[in-house]
Amino acid sequence: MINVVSAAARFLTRVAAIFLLAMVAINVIDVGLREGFNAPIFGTHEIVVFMLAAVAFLAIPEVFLRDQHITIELIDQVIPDSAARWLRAFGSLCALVYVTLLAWHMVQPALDYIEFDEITMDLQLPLIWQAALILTGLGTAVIAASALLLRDIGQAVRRGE
Amino acid sequence: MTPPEIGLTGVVVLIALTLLRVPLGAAMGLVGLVGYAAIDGWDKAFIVFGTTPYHLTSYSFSVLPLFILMGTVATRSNMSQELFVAANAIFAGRRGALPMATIGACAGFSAISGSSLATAATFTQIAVPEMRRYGYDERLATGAVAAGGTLGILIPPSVIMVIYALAAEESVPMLFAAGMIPGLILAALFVLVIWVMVRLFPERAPAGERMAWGDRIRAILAMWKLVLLFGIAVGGIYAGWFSPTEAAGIASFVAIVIATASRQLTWRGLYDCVMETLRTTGMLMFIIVGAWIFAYFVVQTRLPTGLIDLIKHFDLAPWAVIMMILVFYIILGCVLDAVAIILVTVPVFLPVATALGYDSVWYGILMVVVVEIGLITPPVGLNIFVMRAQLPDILLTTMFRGIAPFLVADGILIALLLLFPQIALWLPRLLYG
Repeated sequence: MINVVSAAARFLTRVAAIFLLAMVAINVIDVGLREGFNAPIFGTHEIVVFMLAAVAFLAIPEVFLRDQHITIELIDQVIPDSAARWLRAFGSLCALVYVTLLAWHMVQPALDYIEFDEITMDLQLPLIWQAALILTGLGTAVIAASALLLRDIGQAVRRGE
Repeated sequence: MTPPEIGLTGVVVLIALTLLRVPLGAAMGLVGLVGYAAIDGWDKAFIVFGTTPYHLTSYSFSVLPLFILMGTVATRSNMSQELFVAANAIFAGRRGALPMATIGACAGFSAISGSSLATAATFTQIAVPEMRRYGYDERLATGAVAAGGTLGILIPPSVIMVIYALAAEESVPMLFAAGMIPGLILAALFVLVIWVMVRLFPERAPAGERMAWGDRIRAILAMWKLVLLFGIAVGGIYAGWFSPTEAAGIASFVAIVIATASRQLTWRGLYDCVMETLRTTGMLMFIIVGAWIFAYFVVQTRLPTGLIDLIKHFDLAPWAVIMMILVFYIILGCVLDAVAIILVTVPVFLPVATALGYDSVWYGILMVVVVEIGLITPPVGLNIFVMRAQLPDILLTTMFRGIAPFLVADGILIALLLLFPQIALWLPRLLYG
């Protein structure tokens, strides 16, 4: 299971990579056109914000799978290994509960964007596009966090036997 | 329970969860959600909870991935080696030249990397082997790199300053301007510490080799990449040419172009830089979402107001309150990392500091200085662990002993900031009024 989740997470990070490079490009082009020809790109801020949704949230599943979240590993050093493995599973459980609640409660505001046709001011981009990117990142993070919890529980149980 | 009591309980539970190895973002988000619900009910809590990530996707946050990308490219593309050679050219011939050069190179690298860990990791690879080769004492060598690394978050551009600016709703350009002079003073104090150390213990540092003036000038001129990147990233903001996001975007682009043109960055290297940037951004965003939910909860608890009332009740002098906060930060720095300290404490302590009449930009710089002490003090001195991973044959105790003299410099800078706030505030006021 973890291989499939890893592949999905890596794919999303690669999609985010395109958005990041595009974010660099649009800033360079916008400033170039503004300073050189007094003709900045209309709605740059909104495009950048749209890209930020991908850049900031699509890599979160990979952060889970690579264990790159900031955790304080202080108690691990003073308790037995078996207890440390259960502690690790507890941390993964809390992360799963949190990210699941978060993703779930973000669905309704996203549905509101659709129902009320909410759009950005300048370019009139539907806000649901942005919300969809964020929800894709966090939704996949839920699956990644589940896979991680199963792995941690498995390791704790196996080593305990 | 009253809201302030719920607030205090929330803070205690948050610390307990983080010590129990719960990822920081999840710990802050869960405590924030449950705490908010305890005060205002679950319905309102879930609305705040579910809308926070959407609110955070705003233009001001876009500066974060772009500065991280610039720092990652600069770190991977050998600019650090040229900086070290250039800094060495400045100090060549003096006893203790290499550790002094390390501080100089770290200060320069800070101006393009924005990260303490990147600075410490980079110069552990470059400077420590060189210092060992010339017979420098390991305490002095590792102490200089660890201390120099902390300049990464004080000298702009700094990712930690951006995070503080976002948390405190402060201006990134103001903070970048405010960090410059304290950063340079701290670098000078670190050099002074090395000078004193080699005077007191000459056996720890061999006499440096002299360098011809022509070679010195050539080495210094090779720093043009740094000057160009710093000029765009920070100079462009100071001069008002670019917004922080634009400056970060252009500086990232220029860093990629320079590194690729000088064949120090392959396509594979660029791919790795982009992927690393995205994972760092994702990790920070996960924490920031949790921190914002926690901050909404703190506002509901009226904890800062309670603290201000308490201060008034005991008639404490403002400087005494700031000293107590600093001591608290130093203790917190022993168990939490820099991002965590800033995001957890800003909602609680910043309103107290501003109510006492302190400037929020000045307070941000003071926080960054104190937080950087946590990077080099046990037990969670992250700079030390990064160095230890690369230098497994040097004991942690040796590294911590090497750092001790540099903490005096940090103490002096804190005292100077407390006595003369203008050190931090002069430049932003000159530039932005």
